[in-house]
Amino acid sequence: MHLPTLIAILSSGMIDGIDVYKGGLFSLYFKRVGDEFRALISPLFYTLMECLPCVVAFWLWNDFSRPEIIILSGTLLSYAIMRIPVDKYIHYVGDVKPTLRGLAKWSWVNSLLCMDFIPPVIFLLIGKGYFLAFLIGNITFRYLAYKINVRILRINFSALFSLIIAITAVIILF
Amino acid sequence: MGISLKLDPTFYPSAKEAMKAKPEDLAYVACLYEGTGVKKPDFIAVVDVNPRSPTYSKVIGKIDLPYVGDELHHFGWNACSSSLCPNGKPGLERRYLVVPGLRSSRIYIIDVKENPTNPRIVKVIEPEEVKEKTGYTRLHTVHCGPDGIYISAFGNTEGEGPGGILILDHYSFEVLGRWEIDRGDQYLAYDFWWNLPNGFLVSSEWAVPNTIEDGLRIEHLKDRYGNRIHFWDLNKRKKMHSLSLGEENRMALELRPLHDPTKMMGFINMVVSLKDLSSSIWLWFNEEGKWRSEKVIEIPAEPGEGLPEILKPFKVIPPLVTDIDVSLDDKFLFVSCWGTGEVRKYDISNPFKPVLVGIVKLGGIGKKDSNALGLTLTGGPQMLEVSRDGKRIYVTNSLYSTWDNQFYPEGLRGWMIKIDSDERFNIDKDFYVDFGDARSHQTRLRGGDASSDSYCYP
Repeated sequence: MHLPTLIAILSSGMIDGIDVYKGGLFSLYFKRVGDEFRALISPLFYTLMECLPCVVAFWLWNDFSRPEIIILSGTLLSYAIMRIPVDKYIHYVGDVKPTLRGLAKWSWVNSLLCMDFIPPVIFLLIGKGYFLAFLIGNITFRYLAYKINVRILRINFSALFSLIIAITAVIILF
Repeated sequence: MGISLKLDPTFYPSAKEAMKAKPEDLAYVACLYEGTGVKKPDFIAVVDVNPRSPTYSKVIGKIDLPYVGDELHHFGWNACSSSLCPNGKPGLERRYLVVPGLRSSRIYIIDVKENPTNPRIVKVIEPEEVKEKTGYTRLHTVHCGPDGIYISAFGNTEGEGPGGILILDHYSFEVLGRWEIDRGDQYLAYDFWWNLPNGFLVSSEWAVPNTIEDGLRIEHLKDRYGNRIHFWDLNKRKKMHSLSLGEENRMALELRPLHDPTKMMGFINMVVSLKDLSSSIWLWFNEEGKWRSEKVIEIPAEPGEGLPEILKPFKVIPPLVTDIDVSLDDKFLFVSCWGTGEVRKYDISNPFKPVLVGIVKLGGIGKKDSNALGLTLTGGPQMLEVSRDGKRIYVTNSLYSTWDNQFYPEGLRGWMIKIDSDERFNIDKDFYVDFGDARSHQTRLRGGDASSDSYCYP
């Protein structure tokens, strides 16, 4: 594995994981009303929903040639650049009832709308180890966010995520 | 469309956290000339409410609206703490005041971020657009929802019912359409609010525009004014249940749910009883899945002199409770008696048994005595706005242009007074704003106040 790529992907997972708008607000609600079980499974649940399309990508995996890596990297870079101006406009609220069903439904809908499945799918395609690094960073920081989420409500991690994805795309390319 | 790495610092997950916010420094006040005989456009006044500022208690800015006759009334923010609800919309910021004209049905979008003391209009939604897309007119309450901006409307294009709620887009301020899908027998409208995590909306009833616009007619009280509240499924947009709040009561106005969303209850004021002109405050609550209500406060009419024509047959001054507000910790309920000239403070630690803990007297019908400010006030205390920490209450004195002229025929000069509400409950003698010929209605505090934001977390 290429170490800079690994670090960049791990960081992407961490930034995506700490974004409280990605499931963290559900766990905050469950925690505040004393529903510890739902509070604990919500972070994991969100990552699973976001990475669901990776199940398909898993069967597409093979040893990619250099031109194919360039295409994947370009896709990732395009995703990051397009995401920056439009991200906040394409979130679908639906309802704000704090239920696991709502979490599953809206995380699925919004990860499709915002195409947030693209980074994990591409990380899986370029290497299972990279995908694993993304997952580890993502889940670890979702639980970190679960512990400290009120204090990080003021930071726009979504914008940071776009930046780190763009950097990752460039690192993969080179 | 700029990208910021910071999210809005005035959004809080819970009301208790919002109480720790720094005190407000500016207040925006809706001021109107409708009914005064002055042919000038209404305006939003910017009042300095920072006691350490040299311009404390002064109007330090204003924005004149481009049209005459809007009749400003209630207004609200484009975004608030509801953005932090689970699956809320990321990236919103409290930047624009959404200001409807009650009489014109025009909506102004006013940017207060670039220059908070010198706001500017960034969009005007003309009444024709509102009518065409919703069929509604006479716009009232504005609430910042997680999925859009909700505005209540009293009636249809002919000035009759049904009234209802319309939605604006958060970013473009496009009128998206009517909110209701199945309204059942709901016809009258006034205020609304909600409990977002529990998925219900509650709405109240005043009367249709044709009944109220030219003033109150006593003969209409019996059957043209509402006394019900309606509970709606917020997601299905369907009315689920209605409650009548006393057959003898009329005008179910301000809905104040408790800010803790785990408590499915709130208060509402009934302005007048046909029996004895008293006002009452009711608690509505959900008990084992069923909606119920209970009268928890009754304020009697007082004998009085110097009554206006409309009250002469009754020989009493009705309290006319026209606004109520709940502190963010859900511990105190503030009540304005526009007729008898009182602001009351109730301890609602037990919401079923409120305890009166303070009264401040401010003007009132037939009252000529000066108050703690050494002034003889015109009008009575009407709109209340409570600061986030619950320590300051801002009071203004106009109800509704034609009704102002009936109940205060000697004339009404707009004013704003501040009541300190910590250990004591009394007037801040250093704070008095005189709006001159203009009348003053709702106040919004920069950063949010006790009736601007909805919270999803206990």
